[in-house]
Amino acid sequence: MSSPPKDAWSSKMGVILAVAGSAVGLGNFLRFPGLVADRETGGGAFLIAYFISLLLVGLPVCWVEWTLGRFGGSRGFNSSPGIFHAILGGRYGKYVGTLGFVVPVGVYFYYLVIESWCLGYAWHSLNGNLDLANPAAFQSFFADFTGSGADGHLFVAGTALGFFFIVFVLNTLLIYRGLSGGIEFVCKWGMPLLIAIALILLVRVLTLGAPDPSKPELNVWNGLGYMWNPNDVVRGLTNPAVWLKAAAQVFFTLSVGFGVIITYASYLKPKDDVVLSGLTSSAANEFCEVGLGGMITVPAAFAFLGASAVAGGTFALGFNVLPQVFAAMPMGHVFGGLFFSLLFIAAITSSLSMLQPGIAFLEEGLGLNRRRSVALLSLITAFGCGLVVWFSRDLKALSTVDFWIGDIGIFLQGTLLIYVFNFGFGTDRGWKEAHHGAALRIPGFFLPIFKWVTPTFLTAILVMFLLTNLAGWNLSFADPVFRPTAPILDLVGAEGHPASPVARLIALFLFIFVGFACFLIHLAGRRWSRNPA
Amino acid sequence: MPASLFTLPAVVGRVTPPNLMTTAGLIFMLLSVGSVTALFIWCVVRVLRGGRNEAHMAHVEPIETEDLPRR
Repeated sequence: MSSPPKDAWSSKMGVILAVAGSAVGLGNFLRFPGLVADRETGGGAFLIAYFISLLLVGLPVCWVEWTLGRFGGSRGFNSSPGIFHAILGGRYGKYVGTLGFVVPVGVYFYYLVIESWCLGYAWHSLNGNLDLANPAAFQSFFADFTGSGADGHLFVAGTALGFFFIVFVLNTLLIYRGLSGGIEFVCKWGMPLLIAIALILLVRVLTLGAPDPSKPELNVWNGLGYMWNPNDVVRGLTNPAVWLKAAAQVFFTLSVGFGVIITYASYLKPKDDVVLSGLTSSAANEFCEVGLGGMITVPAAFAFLGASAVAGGTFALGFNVLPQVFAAMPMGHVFGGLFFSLLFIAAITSSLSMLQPGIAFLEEGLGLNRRRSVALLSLITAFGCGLVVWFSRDLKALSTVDFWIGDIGIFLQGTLLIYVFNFGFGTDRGWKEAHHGAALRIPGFFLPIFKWVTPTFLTAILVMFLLTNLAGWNLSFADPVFRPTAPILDLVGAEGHPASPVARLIALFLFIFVGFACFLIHLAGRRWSRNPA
Repeated sequence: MPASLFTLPAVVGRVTPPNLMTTAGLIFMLLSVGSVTALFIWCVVRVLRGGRNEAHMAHVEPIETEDLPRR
């Protein structure tokens, strides 16, 4: 295949940090603590389900992606459509990889917007603009900054659009510098910096004591108790919602099924290790999530504001509750600035990883050079991001893309991956392939897990996920109730819930985007047929 | 996106029922945080040391001392 010269990683630690950087994101510091602290589905039962899911789904799918990616790279392919074309062959094999192009680019449409919030909040925090008077003022600041009050708000008021332009240009420039000069460079500096900032914040939080002497029960130790006390483990483990939330969190946090790891691994040499590298990147992510994320945000919020403040959801915790915590803390603008800088670093190492699968596909599928592929992808992402930025009211566009691409798309792609590994590639062949050049052997008991447990577990979770999020199943076997969920009602409408024109427009855009991706893959297939590897 | 996600709880600051750290909570915290930290450190050390190629160790031909002159 006559492709442009291949990019490559400059070191083993570089690729590990790049994968870890892709995985470590906002969810590690905001979503995971909220899930553990949840009174109904959190606690010890959630943690047990989380670690079991990590063992049965997270690690196996991670190793599968690393293995298939390196195999595809040895056949001259770096994108999911190309790699699946190499593995499955035939006329339609390449289309199995469609989601590996669509998902990362689609998630980028809104992830970049959230990344610009992090940068903006860091800036405003350091400048003391977040020293606000009361909770309503913080809520108002968030609504004004994100434009959640009205469509097009960001184009007429505030500073958010400027921050968005900065992160868009920054990401474009860094991805243009290539794998080693851009992504690896940022992750090599960014990940140690992120861990250093997190450790500083951890020390600050653990030494908070009881910030308000008149409320001694609101202290950081009880905040840790609120977060980690196991509650009723047996009852929790029989609750399907606990398993669904735990498996989904593992899936999303490791960036498996995202199309990123498979692309990153394709730039390895055929005899480079994938087993230890995959385990190390996953361990780095878990350290950031459980060891750092689990100890900082919720205990701090509890110590300053009480248990009720913790139960508001990811964005509320990050952009409403925590700014209040920092405002009440001595030198809070510095610690607030550090915290949002940490979120920004976590976000940019992830957003860069979302561009690389697209770049790889445009280069090898259409034969474009780096400059043209970056230009074309920038055009596509500028349009997608532009829609999310413009239709900011109630963050409807953001939540619609997040639901259809960030939730459903990732689950589908991850499930496809494990089936391709077992039935397209062959489990035993894949097991041998994983161990080529391995610095570590995968324990033998993982072979039946790869073969039987992971596909079964993943399929069950996928079905539950779809039934819950599309059909609105109440997760009860004894008394099942199905009520269409908000994303469905946004499209079809119902009494008391009229259809949302914005949600419909975004869904149409995503449908066209998937169709466009299939057309590009068709063109790529013709090119690959003319110039076989 | 549900509106509740962006709505601050109205009872911020209210004294809530006690959430004292229990022994079980301490064990869960130490086990969870300790295990992921230990795994992370172990992996980083293995990577930095350059990790032996274990998958191929089984294929290394054993050295027979009587073969040495012939080799």
